[in-house]
Formats: sequence, structure tokens, C-alpha cells
Amino acid sequence: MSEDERALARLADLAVDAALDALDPKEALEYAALRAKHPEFDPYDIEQAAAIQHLATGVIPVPMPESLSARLATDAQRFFGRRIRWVAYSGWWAAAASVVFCVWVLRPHGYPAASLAARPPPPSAVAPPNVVAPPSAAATPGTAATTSTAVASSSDVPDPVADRARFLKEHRWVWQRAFAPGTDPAGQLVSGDVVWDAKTQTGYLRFQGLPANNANVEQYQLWIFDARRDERFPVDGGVFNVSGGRDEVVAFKSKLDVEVPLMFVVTVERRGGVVVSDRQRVAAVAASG
Amino acid sequence: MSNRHLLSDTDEPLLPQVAGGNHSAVAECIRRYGPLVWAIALRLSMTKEDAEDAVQEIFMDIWRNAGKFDRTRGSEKVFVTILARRRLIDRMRRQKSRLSVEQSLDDHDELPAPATMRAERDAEIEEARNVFSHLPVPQQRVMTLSLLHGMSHAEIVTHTGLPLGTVKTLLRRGILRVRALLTATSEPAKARGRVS
Repeated sequence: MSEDERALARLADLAVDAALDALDPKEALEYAALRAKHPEFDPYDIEQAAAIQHLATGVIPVPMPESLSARLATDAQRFFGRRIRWVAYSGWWAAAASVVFCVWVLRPHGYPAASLAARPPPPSAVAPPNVVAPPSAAATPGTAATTSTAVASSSDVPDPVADRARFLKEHRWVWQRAFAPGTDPAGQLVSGDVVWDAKTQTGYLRFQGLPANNANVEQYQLWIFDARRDERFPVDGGVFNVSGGRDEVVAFKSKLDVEVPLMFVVTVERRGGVVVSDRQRVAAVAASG
Repeated sequence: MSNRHLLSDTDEPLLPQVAGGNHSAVAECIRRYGPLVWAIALRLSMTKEDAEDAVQEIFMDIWRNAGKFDRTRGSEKVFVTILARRRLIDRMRRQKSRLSVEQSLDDHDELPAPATMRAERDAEIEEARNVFSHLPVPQQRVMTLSLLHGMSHAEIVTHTGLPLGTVKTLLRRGILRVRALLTATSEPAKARGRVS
């Protein structure tokens, strides 16, 4: 068996594991590396085989409760109603989007880390949302700073949880995967998910059980693995802080195009983030199945 | 097995129309696939309420992804099942605790009687069922626990006492065998440019 054949066999094994259960962080990284090396490999076939075998093991359709059917009908009405309006007003949306884009491009980058943490809003002020900041923006111009930025200012998005909910309603093609604990003790109890919209290159991280970081010493950093990019150089998604709350939501935006997201990985890095992670402290992994 | 059946549903595909926002097709989609999705969700959810929430999420996924359905790559029902499995497995990963297997299985024994249900008769599924019936009993058991009951690898290890490596190997071989079967039977049709 050639090296390529061995790699493809291993890739198939990992794809089966991913289709049936979560990959552990080490396997997820290996899977991402192999996918990047073998873009011709299509895990859809594996998912399809699992689905067919699932049906073959004895799924017998069951009539849905009336109440559930009614809820689905309501959901459908909302979903397609909104979509039809979107098509009808697409010209307006394009204009609005360009304005938003200009505002986003022209606004100053590089939030101070302390203002990015997920904290309860003070009663007398509008709190900033959880946003991912460019890592070491001032220290490494043109490198990490160009790969991500905050999504919005504190005045226009005061509530990241509500903003995430709105994001899910407004974006039709959302990539969504659950976070699994990484190898670092910081991620031992982590759960949550990542939602990602390829069209806008924006998304939200949501965590439960991710401990607060000491922002003076270390920060969490997001990495986005793209099937079209070399696995050794994932897209840097920026750094962020969490306060250890029950439901931390962090907005992020990639400035480098991510075409086929394979995996979103959160590492613990020194304050300000790093340009290349040694991947020694992986806190959470959300991998494509 | 005929490739005609392997590559398409018995019924006319709905998803292209759903993708176009056809309201009748959307309603028919719920009617046609709701019972299937509901059955899968009941098996792979902790509670009935959880299953109901999952079904709503799955249908949102179906509507979002309807335009991606490619009938040359498999049936609509399998496409829907893939989306359902993705969502349910994701939800299970998020859950920190699970009901015990026994309790879960007991709950699902309360499902409506088979006489009121329609069994799946698609050729590809029949073929997979045939493959499954010829697998060694331990492999059948492990695959059933994983696919039908949604157990994680670790849960299967606990339930069966088999080593993790053995569980993974049995599952991988089983799924890859089905994939090989599908590849072997669909290639001639694809080569002829047949799409339905």
C-alpha cells in the first residue's frame, strides 16, 4: 500500500468516526491535515453510507404530534416569508450591506483586550459585545492583525447573545458545529458551539464551561482551518477573553476568506496572541463531520 | 438492485422546489419527511421535548440546504437523514449528561405500534439491510448501538465491554462496506450520465 493509499484509508476511518461520534482534538487536527492534503476526498460518501445504514437498521417513521407539525408550519412560514421579502428587496439589502461594509472597514481596529471580555453590562453604560480582537494588532502589523477583526462597535451591538440569535435568523447557510473539549485543562468542561456564515465570513462562538482567563497574562485565540489552505497555517481568528459566565458568546470575523471550514480551534496563548500557535494548549475544537 | 432506485426516490424530489420557496412543496416536505425525522429524533434525543426541538432545527437545516440536494448522489430521503443525523449528533455532543441506555430504550419502546407505520423499502436501504444481516453479530450490535441508538464510542465501550479500538474498527468496517457497495452500484449509472 502506497503512502497516499494509507493516508486515504486513515482519512476514511476518521471520517467514519466523525460521522458517528466526535473526534478528539488530536484526531480532529490529523483529520484536518489529511483533508487539506487530499482535497479530492469527499466525506459526504461516508455520511451517506452512515445514513443509509442507519435507515437499514430499522428506522420506522412515526407520525409527528399535531403540535409539532403546527410549529413546523409556523417556522416554515417565518423562514420562507422572510426569504421571499429578502429576494424582493435585494437591491436595498445590497445598498445597506455596502454601507455596513464601509462602516466596518473604516472603523478603527484593535480593541483593548479588557474591553472585549464577556462581562455583565454595567447598569450605567452600554457594554461592549464579546468580540474577537486582532491578535497583537499593534505589534505585528500586516500579519495576524490582518486576519480578523471585531464585528461591531459597542454602540450598535450591545448584546452578543441577542446578536447571535439575530445572526442565526438572518443567515440562511450557517455552518454550525458543537465544541468538544480540547487537550488543555482549560477546556475540560467546555461545551457550546460555533456558527459561521461563509458569505459574510462572520460567526459567533458560544461557550459554557470555559474558565475566565487572566487577560494580563494569557488570552484565548481562535484558529480557523480551511480545507483550501495548508493545515500548518490556519486562519488566525483573533484573541478574546471570557469571564467564565454560563453562556459566553463571542463574535468574530475573518478577513481572510475561509472557503471550506473544517475546524474551529480555540487555543490558550500569551496575552495578545501569537502568529503561529504551537498547539500545545488546545481548549476547544469544533470540527466538521 | 436497480440503479434507478439507488439514485432516486420513489416519489418526485421535493427539495428543488423547496429551495425555490414553493409553499406547497414545503408543506409536502414536512408531511413526507416529518415522520422519518421524528422517528430518528426520538431515538437520538434524551426527551420528547428535546426531540421536538431537534426536529424544528432539522427542518430549518433542510430548508437552508435544500438547494444543495443533488439527486445524482443519492436519494432525497438519505439526504434528509444525513442532515438529521448531523444535527442530532451535534446536539448530543452538546449535552453533558445522557439518560442511561436502558431507560432510553425503554422510553422508545412506547412508540406507536408498527402497524401504523410504513417501513422503508428503498432499494439502497434494502441492500444495506442485506449487507448488515451478513455481518458478524458483534458488529451488528455495535452498529445498532451507534446508528440506531446514537451511542458515542465511549458509551458503546461501557455498554458492551469491548475495547475502544475494537468498537471503532467494527464501525469503520461496517460503514466503509456500505460505502463500497454504494460506490460499486452507482458508478455504472454515473458513467452513463443517468441522473434519475
